[in-house]
Amino acid sequence: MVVKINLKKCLGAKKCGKCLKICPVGVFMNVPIGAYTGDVWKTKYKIVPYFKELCNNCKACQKVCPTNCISLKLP
Amino acid sequence: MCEFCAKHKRKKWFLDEDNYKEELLKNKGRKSILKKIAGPTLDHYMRDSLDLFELARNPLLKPVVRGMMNKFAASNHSGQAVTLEDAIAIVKLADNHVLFQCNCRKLCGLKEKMCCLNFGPMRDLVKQTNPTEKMEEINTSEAVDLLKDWNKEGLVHEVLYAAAPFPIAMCNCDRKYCMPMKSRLSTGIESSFLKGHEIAYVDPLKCKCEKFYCMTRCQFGAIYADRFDIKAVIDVTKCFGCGLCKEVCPCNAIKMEDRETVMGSRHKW
Repeated sequence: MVVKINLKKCLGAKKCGKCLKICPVGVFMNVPIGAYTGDVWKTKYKIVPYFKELCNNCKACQKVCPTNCISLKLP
Repeated sequence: MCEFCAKHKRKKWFLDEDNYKEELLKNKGRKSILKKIAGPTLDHYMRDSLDLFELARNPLLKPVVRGMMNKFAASNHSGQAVTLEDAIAIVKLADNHVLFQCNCRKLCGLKEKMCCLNFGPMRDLVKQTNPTEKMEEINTSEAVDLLKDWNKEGLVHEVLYAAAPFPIAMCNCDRKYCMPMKSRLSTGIESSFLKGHEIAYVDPLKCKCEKFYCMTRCQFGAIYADRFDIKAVIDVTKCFGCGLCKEVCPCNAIKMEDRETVMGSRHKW
C-alpha cells in the first residue's frame, strides 16, 4: 500500500500526531521542514510516511485521523 | 569478520581498544559527521538520510544509490547489532558515559525515554553545541545495569559509529521506532543497519519447552515453529544476531555462533 498524507489538511504532530502513535509498524516519521536555521524552536515539522513497504494495510491511521487526510492506495 | 574487522586486525572492530582513542577525532570527515550528529541539527541529518532512502526506492536509481550508500557507509554514520555480552564489553572499554533521549522515538511521536547511551567524545561535543539538551551523566556500572534492564525489556543493542571504526553510542532499539532498522527492513540497503557478528543457533535436541518465548522476543521474525516436532527454528537469512532470544530460553537450547560458519549467512552483513 502506498500511504499518502495530504499536508494541507494535516494538523501536524504537535496538535494531533495520532497516526504516529497508532501505527504498529512505524510507517510515519515526524521530520523538520527546510534547512537548519539556527533556532530549534522555530523549526517546523511535518509527518511523512517514509516506510511504505512496511505497511500491512491495517487502516488504523485512516480510522484515527480527525481530518481524513491519509489515503491508502495500491501503486 | 565484517568489512571493518577485515581492515582493522582480525578482531571484532568494536572490541579493539585502539578504536576508542581521542586521536581519531582529528580525522576531517569524522569531525564533520560528529558536528551534524551532536547538536541541534540531528533532526535535519536524519531527514536527509531518510530522503536518500526515498531516492533508493526509485526503481531506476535504486542500483546506483544502493551501491553508493554501501560503498560510503564506512565513512558515514551507521550501526551494527551486537549481543548483550559485546554491548557490556563496549561500555566497559569506553568512557564519559552519558544518556540522551532517543531521537528516533521523538520523531516517531512516542514518549521520551533516556535510552540513547553515548560515550567517548559525545558528552563534550553536545555540551558545546547544544547546552539545552537533556543529559544524564552516568558511570560504567550504572551503564551496564541499564543495558541489562533494556535487554530484559527486549530492546536490540546497536553500536553506532561515526566514520568507522569509531564507536560513539549504544542504541537500544525497538523495531517500531528505530530509523536505521526500519530503513534496512524496508529498502534492503545493508549499510543502514549491519547484522551482528553472531547468529543464533537452536539445538533441536534441547528445545523442548513448546512455549516459544524466543519467538515473541525476536523483532525480525527470524524464528518460526517446526510444526512436526514443535520446535523453534532459526531462519538464517533473517537473523540479525542480537542475542535476545538466547536470554529467555528456559532449556538453554539457543547459543550464538560465528556468522561466518553458517552457509546461509556467510558474508551477508
